[in-house]
Amino acid sequence: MNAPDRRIRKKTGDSFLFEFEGRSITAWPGETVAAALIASGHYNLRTAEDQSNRGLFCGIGMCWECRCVVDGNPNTRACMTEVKPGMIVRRQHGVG
Amino acid sequence: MPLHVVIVGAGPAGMAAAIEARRRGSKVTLLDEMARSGGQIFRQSAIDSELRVGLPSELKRKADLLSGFNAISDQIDYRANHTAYALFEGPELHVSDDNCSEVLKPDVVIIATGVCERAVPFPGWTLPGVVNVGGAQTLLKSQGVKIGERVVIAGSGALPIAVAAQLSKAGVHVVAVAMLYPMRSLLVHPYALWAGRRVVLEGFSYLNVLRQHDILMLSRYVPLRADGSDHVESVQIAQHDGTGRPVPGTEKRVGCDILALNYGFTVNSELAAMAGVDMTYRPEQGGWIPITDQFCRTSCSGVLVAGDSGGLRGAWVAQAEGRIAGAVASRYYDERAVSNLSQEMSQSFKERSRHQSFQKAMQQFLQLPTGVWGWADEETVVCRCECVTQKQIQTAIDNGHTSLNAIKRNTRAGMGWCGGRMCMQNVAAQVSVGKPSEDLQPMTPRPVARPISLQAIRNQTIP
Amino acid sequence: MTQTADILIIGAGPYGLSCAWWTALREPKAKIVVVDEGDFACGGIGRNASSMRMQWGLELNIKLCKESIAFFEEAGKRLDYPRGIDLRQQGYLLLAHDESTFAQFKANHELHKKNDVPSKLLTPEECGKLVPVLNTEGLVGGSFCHKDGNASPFLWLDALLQAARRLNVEVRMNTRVDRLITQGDRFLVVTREQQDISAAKILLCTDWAAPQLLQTVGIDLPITGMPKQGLVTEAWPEIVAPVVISFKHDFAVSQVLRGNILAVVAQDRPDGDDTRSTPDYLSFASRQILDCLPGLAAIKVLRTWGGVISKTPDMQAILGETELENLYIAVSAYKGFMTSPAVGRIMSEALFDSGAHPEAAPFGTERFKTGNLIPEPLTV
Repeated sequence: MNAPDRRIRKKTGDSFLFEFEGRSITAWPGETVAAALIASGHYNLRTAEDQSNRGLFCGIGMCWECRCVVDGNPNTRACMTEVKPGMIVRRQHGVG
Repeated sequence: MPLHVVIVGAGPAGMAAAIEARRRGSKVTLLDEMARSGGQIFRQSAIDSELRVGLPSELKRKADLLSGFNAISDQIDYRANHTAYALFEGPELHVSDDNCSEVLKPDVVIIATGVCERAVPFPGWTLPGVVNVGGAQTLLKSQGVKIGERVVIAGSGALPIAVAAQLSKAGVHVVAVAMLYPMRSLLVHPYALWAGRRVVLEGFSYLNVLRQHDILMLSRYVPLRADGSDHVESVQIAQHDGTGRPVPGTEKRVGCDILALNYGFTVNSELAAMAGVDMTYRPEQGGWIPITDQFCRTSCSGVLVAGDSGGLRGAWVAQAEGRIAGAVASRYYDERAVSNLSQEMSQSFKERSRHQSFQKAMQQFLQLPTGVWGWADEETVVCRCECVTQKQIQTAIDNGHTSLNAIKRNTRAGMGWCGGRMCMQNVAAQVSVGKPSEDLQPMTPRPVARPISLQAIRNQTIP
Repeated sequence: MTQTADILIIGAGPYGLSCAWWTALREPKAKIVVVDEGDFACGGIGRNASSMRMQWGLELNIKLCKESIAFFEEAGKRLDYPRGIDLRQQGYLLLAHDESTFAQFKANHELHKKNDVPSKLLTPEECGKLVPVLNTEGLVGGSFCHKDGNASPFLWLDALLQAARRLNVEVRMNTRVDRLITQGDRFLVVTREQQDISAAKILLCTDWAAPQLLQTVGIDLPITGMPKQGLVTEAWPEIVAPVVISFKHDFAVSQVLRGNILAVVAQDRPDGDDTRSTPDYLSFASRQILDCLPGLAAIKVLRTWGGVISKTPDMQAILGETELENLYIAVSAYKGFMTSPAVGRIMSEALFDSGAHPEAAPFGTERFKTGNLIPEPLTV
C-alpha cells in the first residue's frame, strides 16, 4: 500500500526527505513536522509515562502532546517545528 | 512624547490595537508566538498564499484586517516568533525567541493573547487521532493538510460547525457531527438574530455546506469513548438526557480515523494574573477572566486586556475592542482624553456592545451541563502532561485537598508543559461539582507563562 | 465550641506531620490534633530542592540526616505508602571553586569517616566524569556521597499525612491559629475560624512564622524568615545524576526521578515573608546555573516558585521545650524536609520525657542565651 498523501493540493517548491522512526518521509518547505507526518498517515508521536500513545492534540503549540525527539532533542513539539531536509525524528518514550 | 505600547498577540484584537495605536502616534511593539500574524482565527498559510479556507464573508473580514495591518506593519516593531513569558508591575514584560530574551518596560501593555480550546475528558481521549477541532482547522488553513480521511466531530458552540464545513469543502469525509446542543436553536435565538446578523449568516451558510455534503448532524449527542490501538479507529457516541449524561440504549459506534473535539475555550490570561490583575472565575467565558472596565483597563496600572483573553467574545468583538484598547493605550495617562474616547469612537463601542450581546446569548451553549463530568472513568487521564487520572484527583479531593494549588501539589496535575491550560478547568469542575465556583482560586500565577529554555533566559538584553 | 486535645501541633508541614505520626505511634491513646492555616504543602515543603544529604560539617547534622535518610529508604514500608516517595539516591556532589572551601571538604571528610558517612573527595576531572554537563574550569575539587539524593517532598508529605490519619491524628487544614492563651496548666488556642482548642501540650511547627504565635505568650526567639525562589524545568532524560551544590554559585540543582530539574539559586533579598517572584530572578538564576552546568542550556523552565525559609542565628534547628512549660517548638532552619524523619522521632520523645532530651538538648533555645551556638561550617 502506498503511503497516503493528505495535502489538499500539489505544493510548490521542491520536496525533500526526512526520517521518522527510520522511515523516509516526503515533505515540502514550510511544513511542520506534524503536518508532514500526518500528511503521510503517521499519528502516533509519543508514548507517555503511563505507556499510552499520544499524538497531535491542540495543533497550535499549547498542549505539548505532540512532543517527540527531533535530531536528538527531546520534548520538541512536532506542530511548532519546521521540518528540514535530513531531519531525524523519532517517537519519544517517556521523557526521552 | 508618544507612549510606547507593547501588544501581546497578533490576532484580530492585537492587530486592530496595533493599527489604532500607531494611527494615534504611539510607538508600537507587537509580539506574536506564531511565524505569521492573524492569530488562531485569521491564520495565514505558511506555505500557500493562495490557500483559501472559509466563507467569502469571513475571508473578506480577514483580508480587510490584514491589509490594514500590512499598511502599518513597517511603522511598528513587529516581532513574530516571540513569546511573552512574564509580566510584572510597571509594566515590565519579559519576552523571548528561541535563543534570546529581552526585558521591555513600555508605558502600556495590551494583552491580546486569545484563547485555546477546551475538551472534556472521556475514555480514549488521549489516543493519537483525537484532536481539538481548531487543530484540524489549523492544519488545513496553515499547512494545506487534511487531518484525516474520515472525521467525526463532537462539541458545543459554533466552532465545530465551522470546521466541519471547512473540512468538507476541502474534501475530507466528515462522518458525523455530534453536538451537545441543537445548533439551529442557537442560530434562530431572537436576540442572536438581531445582534449578530453577520455571524448568524455565516453560521447558516456553514450549516448549508454541511447539508450539501449530506453530513450526519446529531444534536444532543456526546462521546462515550474512543477506541483504537495506536490510533483512533472508532468512537462511541450516545444521546444525552439534557444534562450531558448519556442515555443507555442510544449508543452508536462510528468508524473514523480522526475524532475532533471542542467543548469551549480556556482564555490565555496567565500574564494578567501574573501581573496581579483582579480576576474572576467564569467557566462559560473561558476560566479565570481579568476584570476590565469599558476602556479595557484592568486593576493593574498600564495593563490593558482586549479580545478573547478578557473572556470569550469572538472575533468581531475582538476587533472592535482592539481598536478601543489601541486608542486608550495611546492616551492612557490622560484621563480626560480616555473618557472622551467613548464619544469619539462611538462606532467601535457600539459594535462591541452589539456583538457582546450576541456572545452572551452564545454563552449558554458553551455552558457545560454537569453530566459531562461523568464522562471520564476512574482510569481516564485528566492531566495529559503528567498522566494524572480522574481517580487520583478524586482521591485528593476526598482527602480534603480542595484548592487547585493543593490538588496540584498532591497529584502533579497542572505541573507539566502546558502549565495547566489543558486540565485546570476540568479539575476545577471536578472540585466544584455541586458547589458554587465563583470564588475558586486559580493556581498561583508565577513566571513562566510558557516553557522557555535556560539559554534564552540567560541571553537577556535589558534596555 | 472548644475542642480538647492532649497535644496540638500547629503546622502541617513535614515537621508537624512527622512529629504527629511519631507521637501517635508512641502514645496511641493521646488525642493529637494538627492544624494548618493553609492547604496541602502550602509552606516551605512545597518549595524546596527536594534533596537530602548526610555530608555535613557538624556531627549533629550528620546524625539527624543519617537517621532520616535511613528512614526515607524505608518510607514506603514504614508509612504503608506502597507508591513510595520517589527516592533517588544518586549522591550529592559538593563543588569547591576555592582552596578554603576545599579545605573544609577535607576536614568534613575526616568527620564523615568517623561517622560512617561514605563520602569521597574528588578531583575536578572526577567531578566532570560524574556530571558530564559540568564546567570544570576553576574547580578545585568536590566531595561526593552516594547515599545522598532526593525524593518527592509532596509524596513524603502525603505519606505522612495519610499515615498520621490512620493513627487517628486529626489534621485540620485551613485553620489559622491567632493566639495562644495559658489557662491553668492548659492552653486555649484561639483560631480565626472560631473553633478554639484547649490543649495540654502544644508543639509549634510553623517554622519561620513561629514568632507570630510565640509573641502572644511573651516569648522572643531569634527566628526570622527569608524569601527564597526556585525554578523547575521540564522532565528530561537523566543529565545531572547527583544533586549538585556549588558554593561559588550559591545553588542546589537536583534532577528528580520524574526527570524535572529543580534549582534553588540564592539571591540576596531582605529578611521577611515576601513570596512574590522578583523580575530579575530568572535571568540571575539562569546565569548562575549555566555558568556551572552549561550543558543544561537547552532545557526549558516550566515554572518558578517563591517561598520563605526559616533562619536562626547559627542556621541550625531549634528543637525542644520553650521557657513556657508544655509549649514545645521545632523550627527547621532550612533543612525541614531532609531532617523531618529524625526530628519527628526526637520530638515525640521530648514531648513526654521529663528533663532535657539528650538529642534535642544541643538544639535547645538555651543556646541563644548561653552563646553556645552550633554553626554548620558550610551552607548554601
